Amino acid sequence: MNGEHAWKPFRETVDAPMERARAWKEQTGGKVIGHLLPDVPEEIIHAAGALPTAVEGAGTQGTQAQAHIPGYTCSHAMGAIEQGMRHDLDILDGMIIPYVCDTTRNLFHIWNHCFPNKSNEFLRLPKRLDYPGAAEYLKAEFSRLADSLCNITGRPRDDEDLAASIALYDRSRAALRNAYRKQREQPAVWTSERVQTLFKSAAKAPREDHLRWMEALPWDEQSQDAMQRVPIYVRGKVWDPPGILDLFDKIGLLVVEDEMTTGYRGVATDAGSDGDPIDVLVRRHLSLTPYTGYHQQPDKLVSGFLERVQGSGAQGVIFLNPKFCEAAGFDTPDFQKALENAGIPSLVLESSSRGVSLEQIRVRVEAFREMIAEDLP
Amino acid sequence: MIVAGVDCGAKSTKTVILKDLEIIGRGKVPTGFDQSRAVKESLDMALKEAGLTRNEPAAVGGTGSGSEAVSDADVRVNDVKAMCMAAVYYFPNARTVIDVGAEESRAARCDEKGNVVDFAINEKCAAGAGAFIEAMSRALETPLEEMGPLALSSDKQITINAQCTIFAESEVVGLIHAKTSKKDISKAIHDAMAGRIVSMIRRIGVNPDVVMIGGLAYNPGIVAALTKELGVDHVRVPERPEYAAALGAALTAAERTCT
Repeated sequence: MNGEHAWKPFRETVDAPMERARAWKEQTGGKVIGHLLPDVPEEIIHAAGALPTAVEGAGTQGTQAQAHIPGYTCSHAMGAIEQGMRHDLDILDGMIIPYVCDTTRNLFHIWNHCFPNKSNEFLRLPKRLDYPGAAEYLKAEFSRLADSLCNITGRPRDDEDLAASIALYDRSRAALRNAYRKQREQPAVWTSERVQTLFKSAAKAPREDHLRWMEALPWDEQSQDAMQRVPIYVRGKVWDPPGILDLFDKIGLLVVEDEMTTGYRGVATDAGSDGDPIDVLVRRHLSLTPYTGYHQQPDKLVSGFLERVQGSGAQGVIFLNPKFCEAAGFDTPDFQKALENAGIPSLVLESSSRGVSLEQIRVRVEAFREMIAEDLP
Repeated sequence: MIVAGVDCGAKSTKTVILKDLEIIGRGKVPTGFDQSRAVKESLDMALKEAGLTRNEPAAVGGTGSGSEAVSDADVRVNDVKAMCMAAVYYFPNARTVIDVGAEESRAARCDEKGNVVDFAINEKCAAGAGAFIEAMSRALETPLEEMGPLALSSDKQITINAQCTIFAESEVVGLIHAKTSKKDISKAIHDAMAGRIVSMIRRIGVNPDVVMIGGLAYNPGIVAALTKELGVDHVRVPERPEYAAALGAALTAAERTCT
């Protein structure tokens, strides 16, 4: 497999994610479990014998969800309800909604009310990561989730299965990190759009298949890059609106690191194999870059962010704050102030596929690039 | 050296021809549906005024929301960069630039070379853009060009609360029904718009001298309201302010072609 053909299974998965899940279900007779992304341990779903499938609401347009959820809800949550209401998610046997903000907490109850025939789980993640009891609490919550999923699939809970799933996902994360590195080295071949397709499809396809497809990619392909690219760091939740990464590519911005759930943040940290597999997952969770909305000692939160930006070599930072996301907006002023003091320019974009035009974003991002590029040697 | 700058905007397309950094030709046509045609016509018009042919400009800079239609552009210039370059060309001490276009308003801080230091763009709706005054002039059945002078003739303070052009129009209709005079309503409209623009400018900070470009700079009502709201001695307006972005594109094309 080479050239454009090698990218085909990833694109097919992103274009029709539930078709991939349907094919898997027909082939294996297994259960398909959806999840609303942030920090849901896919390894636990996999070890229970189910197919974890990420549900990305962002980018979904529709007319049905607003009858069930307030209009001032972020497009990620709104879009998930919309997809459910128009039967795009009928293939799912269950859904896991993590508690990462007030919206997701309310979303779970709305979801459960709208789709009572699915096995729905509310994953109560700890909001305070540096609290002494966080690890113990999370271990109990992950164990509860593992038991619940095994009840759904009928497969006995087995630590060896979980350890094997963790090893598989670590291998997948390493491969995705490698692709991200290639994006920095060969941005004309490993475009942001292509690399994002790898990341998105990983969260939707059977991970064993995805890893095999990745091995067949043309890793040695090279191409001269005529564009002078400006390295940037992006903080946000999910890549929204659709086309934003393609826009960065065209304008000449190179994302050298990001904190997206659907981006680098999701693969930056491995779980490892040292000890009880649930403990391993808990340690991984607590060492992740704090998700927007998690509480941490404020100075530590800001200094940690600044260190990551400076360590990435980025010349500027873009905050891709989802429209109506209070948690993202809450952190941003402190982060911007720290960046300003460090002489790093930043730009806040209100991102959403609902009511935000990509053309408006283009003008802002172009001006931002112009602003940074003038300071470059 | 001869260069051209073309600003293909939402409502009109403007071209400026520079010879050794002096303006020698201008052209302006409505953009309409066919942007490529508008670009060609405005360029031809400016070349004709300059007494030049199409082959003579050494470089062409394109800017505006339709900049992709400037197919001959050697340089594509971001709208914010173009406005800063033009402001510093007209007023070397300009450090804050306001550009109110038909559908978008922008503010930028710049340095002495016209480089962008910081910027903000209205992101909610047209309530801080030229289309707002146009909609209100229709509601008041007053020609657009009379709106500004009419506002200057009032000293009443009336607040318009709506943040959306459509809802603001309802509010204006309410004022009409309450027998409020046209001049007082016009002032309220200009004050409301200035308030929205200034709150955007304050996000990046105000550094005198303040320069306003774009077609709305012809409106003395909005210039006066902005001056008052900003708390500055004056807001400077260049000659033919609607050509400023095209001029900025031409200046950037000249700069990048020389280096």
